[in-house]
Amino acid sequence: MPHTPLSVFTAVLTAALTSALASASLAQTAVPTPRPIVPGEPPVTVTATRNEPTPLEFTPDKLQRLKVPAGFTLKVMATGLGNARMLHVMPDGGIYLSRRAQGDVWYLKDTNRDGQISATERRPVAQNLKLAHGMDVRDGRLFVVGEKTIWVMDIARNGSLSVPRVFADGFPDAGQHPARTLKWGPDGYLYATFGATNNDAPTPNPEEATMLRISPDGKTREIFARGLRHTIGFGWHPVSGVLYGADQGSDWHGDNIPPEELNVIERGKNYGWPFCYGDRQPDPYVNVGNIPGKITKAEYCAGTQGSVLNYTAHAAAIAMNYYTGTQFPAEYRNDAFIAYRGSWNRSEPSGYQIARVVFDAQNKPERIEPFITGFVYQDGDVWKQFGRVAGVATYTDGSLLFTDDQSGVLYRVLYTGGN
Amino acid sequence: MQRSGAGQGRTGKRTRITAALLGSVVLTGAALAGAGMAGSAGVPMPAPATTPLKATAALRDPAGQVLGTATFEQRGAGVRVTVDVTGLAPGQHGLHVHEFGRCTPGVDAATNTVVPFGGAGGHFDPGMSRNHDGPQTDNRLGHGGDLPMLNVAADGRGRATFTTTKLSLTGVTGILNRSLVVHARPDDYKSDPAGMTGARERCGIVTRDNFSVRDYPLPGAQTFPEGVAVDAARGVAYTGSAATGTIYAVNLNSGAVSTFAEGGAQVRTAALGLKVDSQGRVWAAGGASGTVSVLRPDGFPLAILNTPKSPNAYVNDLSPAPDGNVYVTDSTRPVIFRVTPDLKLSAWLDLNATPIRYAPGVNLNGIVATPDGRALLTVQLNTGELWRIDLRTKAVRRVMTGLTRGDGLLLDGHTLYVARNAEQVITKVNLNAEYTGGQIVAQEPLAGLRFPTTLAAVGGDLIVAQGQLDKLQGGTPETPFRLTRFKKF
Repeated sequence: MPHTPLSVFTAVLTAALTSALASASLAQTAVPTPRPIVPGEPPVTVTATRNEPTPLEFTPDKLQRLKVPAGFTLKVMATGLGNARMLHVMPDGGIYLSRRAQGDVWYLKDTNRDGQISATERRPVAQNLKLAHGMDVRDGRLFVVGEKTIWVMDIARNGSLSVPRVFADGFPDAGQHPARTLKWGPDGYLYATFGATNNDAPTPNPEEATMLRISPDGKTREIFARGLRHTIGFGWHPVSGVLYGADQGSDWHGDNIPPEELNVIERGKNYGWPFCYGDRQPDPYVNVGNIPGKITKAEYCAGTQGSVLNYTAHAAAIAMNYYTGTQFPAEYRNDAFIAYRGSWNRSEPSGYQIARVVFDAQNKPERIEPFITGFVYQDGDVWKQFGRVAGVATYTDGSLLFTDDQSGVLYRVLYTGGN
Repeated sequence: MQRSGAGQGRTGKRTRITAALLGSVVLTGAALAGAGMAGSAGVPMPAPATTPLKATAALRDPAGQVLGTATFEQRGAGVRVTVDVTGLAPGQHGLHVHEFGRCTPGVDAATNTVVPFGGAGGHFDPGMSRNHDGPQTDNRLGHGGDLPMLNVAADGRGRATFTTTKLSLTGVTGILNRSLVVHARPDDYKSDPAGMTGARERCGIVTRDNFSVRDYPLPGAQTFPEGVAVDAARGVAYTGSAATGTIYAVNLNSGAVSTFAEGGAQVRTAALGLKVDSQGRVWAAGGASGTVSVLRPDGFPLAILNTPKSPNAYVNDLSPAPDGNVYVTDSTRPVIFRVTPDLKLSAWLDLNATPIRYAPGVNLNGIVATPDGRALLTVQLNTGELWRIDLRTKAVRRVMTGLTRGDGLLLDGHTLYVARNAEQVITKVNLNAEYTGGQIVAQEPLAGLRFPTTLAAVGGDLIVAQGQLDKLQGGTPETPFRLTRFKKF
């Protein structure tokens, strides 16, 4: 039986391979070497402080404690809203408000345009939605994500909603991080985030600690990005189209580790949690033995994506909203506002504020700075707070809305400096 | 397309010898001189080709200087080894074949420190003996890599020539792309893990002579690539992870690797057999998840199809057929599933009503459709049987035996290539015109294979996924994981 001599085809193959060799080696990145045994790490000691500032119910006299930048005015639009979490503003000024603890959605509308949402201007429009949180609207339908389910409801002219239908289901357990969010992307796909059930260990369900990308009919989905412990606020920059997300770092790792992250979220990337934070820094307080493949933490982190900006540890980013209105000065246009709900494991509390992500002339994020502060303060030796901020949205007149989920307050920030 | 080699009983001496005999480079039907030798295994087997397999290892010291050479030549089921190395202390030195083809510093697990040539790993242990022993011990009872000590003369030169049947250059005991290590001290032939032989003083990678392949390295430390499929129009090979379900796209020209589809969503947690259809869609068998995924050319899942829920699902491979349907094997449930062009999955053939008998372990695995559109061919991994299933009548007949550990199939006209995972070879079979009978004509270890799982064609070349699935349940895989491209043989 005839056979091709091995040496002949080998020579041909070798020649063909040599020409392709240069580009192949360029494409090759360092691949971690799995070890026969988990690598050792030196012991590290952490000083962690549980410090939940004493909560105070909102009362109007406390407003004077709040600081706003010059030219801005803060007003209260509504109180007594319960666990007021996320906001979605409709073009006609109607506002959908999710109340996670109550598992419902309310419709608020200032019909008499007095700047107040009175008792007759608010009503529940969807109920029995467990851990209802993130919301977005597309084609006349409101999409709401709760613990393990995304629901869809038809929107009536008066803001009422149809009976909820299940749009997509079977998402992971919520555990410690039940604040799910969703947004329709510019590509016509639905993006939704699902936080980790725990603080700082790998999770058994691969859909945890991820951003998922869901087909327009809700039937199929993919893991768009992973290693995101609890990214609630995310969205596409109005000019650059880049997807940014604000991630909450692990608890109990000390006052400054890990910082809160602002990430550029790209398909197929791993953002490091639980092993790495910030600019791919190995977290010394996470057990190395949990890393898949028995590689070192440094090797693992080298294969992850770093953040683009960091903010004070434990500040707890909730919603993020790009400012696309015209009421604020032009420099605010297309910047982002993030509600930092506030820390509970930092000796000096962080967060308890609305912060501004300043984008530069090239539409790259330059820094994060406080915008509305004063919800937390020291009274003698005791830290106190009267607001846990959560939802942020741009109102139809270009003012900025945000919620306090502790006392159920809807705040409104107006620019009045021009007058 | 098989979850693990462990526990599938590759430890028997008889089986090992059979495998070693199968592992000759090219088998010629005319040369039956070696039949007496083969007869001991009970399988009629042609003799090895006239050109034996040869390999060389350049033995380096930890500084990288070449201070010796070892050569390896296939001799029947065994290998003749010569070693010539200088610069060592006079006396006896332990000599072993280590598992990995890597003479780099690496971790010694006993001290969890990096030691010279630690990258070579532990002793090659094809019999899974987990025991260090002497050079005459059966591989079931001791490491296959345990060789006779090297005697170093007063001038620091050690030379040895011996033949061992514990090792081969092909098959289960094949040592291509593994390493030969000379230790500092004598071998007591009993203490675990290495006979008290001390530091690793020389190391060389066993490299096949006059033979090269092109490797496409893959990212990740736990990648375990199982399936491979080529989209010639896009110039990419897809490969999927048996551990995570992530599917990668490998540029066939540059070797650049990108993530095509992240695994893990909707229980798509494993990707086994892969195929690209005429629309550029990627089909993935989902293993224990019991799913079949259809991914669009941009990687987004078009459909994730569920088989009936079962703790014993093992959707292993699939193949589009000329009739427009895709046929799917399940290695633990005796059924062939079919996906119709409207992406509906159903049970197509109950194998209990056919001559195919499911046994413990991995059963039907690789599947291909014949180009005439009349039949499917599928290999049963645990029995080594190749089956023909008539698409019109559903009649099942056995084509041939002798393909144990047969995993992925590639049909090229009437030539069938079989990736035989734990056997570490690719077997070439000539099939008759009706695909009703076949004969093994050649087997290739290439430059050394690590649990080859599946095959795909790219022009006149083939690509094999070196899955290392035997390490999926434990043990240390060799990175980078890789696809390997080679000329058809």
